[in-house]
Amino acid sequence: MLKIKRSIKNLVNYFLDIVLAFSIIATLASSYILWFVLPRGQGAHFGMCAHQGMGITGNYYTVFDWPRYIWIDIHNWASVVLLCLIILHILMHWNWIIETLKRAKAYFSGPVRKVGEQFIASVTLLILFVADCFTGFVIWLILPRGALDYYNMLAGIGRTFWGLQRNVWVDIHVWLATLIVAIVIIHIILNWRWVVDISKKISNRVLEFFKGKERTGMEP
Amino acid sequence: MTSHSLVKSYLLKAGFYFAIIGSVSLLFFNLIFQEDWTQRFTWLWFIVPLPVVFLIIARKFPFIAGLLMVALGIFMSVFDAFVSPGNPGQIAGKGMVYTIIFVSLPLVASGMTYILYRWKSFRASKGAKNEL
Repeated sequence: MLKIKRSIKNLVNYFLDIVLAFSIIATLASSYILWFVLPRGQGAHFGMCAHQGMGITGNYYTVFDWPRYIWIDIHNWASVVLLCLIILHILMHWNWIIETLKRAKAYFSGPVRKVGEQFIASVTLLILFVADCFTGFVIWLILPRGALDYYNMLAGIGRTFWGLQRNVWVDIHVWLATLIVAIVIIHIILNWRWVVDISKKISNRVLEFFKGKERTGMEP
Repeated sequence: MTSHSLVKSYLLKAGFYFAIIGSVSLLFFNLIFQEDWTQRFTWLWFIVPLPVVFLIIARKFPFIAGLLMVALGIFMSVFDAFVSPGNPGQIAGKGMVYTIIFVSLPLVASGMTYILYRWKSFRASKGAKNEL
């Protein structure tokens, strides 16, 4: 019974991780487009957002026929979905977090154990993600893009939050996201064995399922 | 595992993880410069795989790889201090402080860790020789 429960939990974790990966890819792809393909313009469009905010003062290019402002919306809402999935991911690994916290003391006085590295990587990832979400909410809700932002920013008289102008918050947001990408790679390297094991188990089960069907189909 | 080899094992891993952070940051740093209107910095693409090459070198020659990694980290900051892409203020993430913190620091930390690892190994082997 315990084995079945564990196997179901593993399966749920595995598929939740796949959804999480897709969500991360959606957020990163939209952020890549916003950062490098459709970078911000000068922002001198005032309230007249003709042609969906495009024009000589903003970035007038599109990707898949969508202007920058649509991509900002996609990025924002993909990030909100990602945030919800990460909260779910943490809740599902809550026991592991508590257990590892208890083992942390033994870890630091003992030999190198992978679990400690995994824990440090996970906690770093969580802290970075929370910080990145915070900076994201600041530039989305507290300091939204406004008219003449670019000129005010250059003059150093732009709107501020905690003493920092919007462009600084954007810079911090993108660099924290870059760090998150790096730590996610480390996180995957550290958990690679688990990913391979569960993938093998699932693919074996799927193969067995189809083989069984084939056999029953061949019977007269 | 003795405490000495434990420290060395930690140093190798730390060097590797810092190098991964540095590599990813370097990739995004390069992408920022690709926004230049006149495409002056396309050659920066050739720098992107360097940390990975240095990591491969570090398997055999950690000291040399460490020195190269430190040199690359310092070079990126110096480069950023003297060169700017064509549209300042419009590219997110462009700034000397960010280059130092997110690009140079991880690369230099990785390099220093490999150099420290080699130094510790050298001292350990010297100590073993003296004991003999």
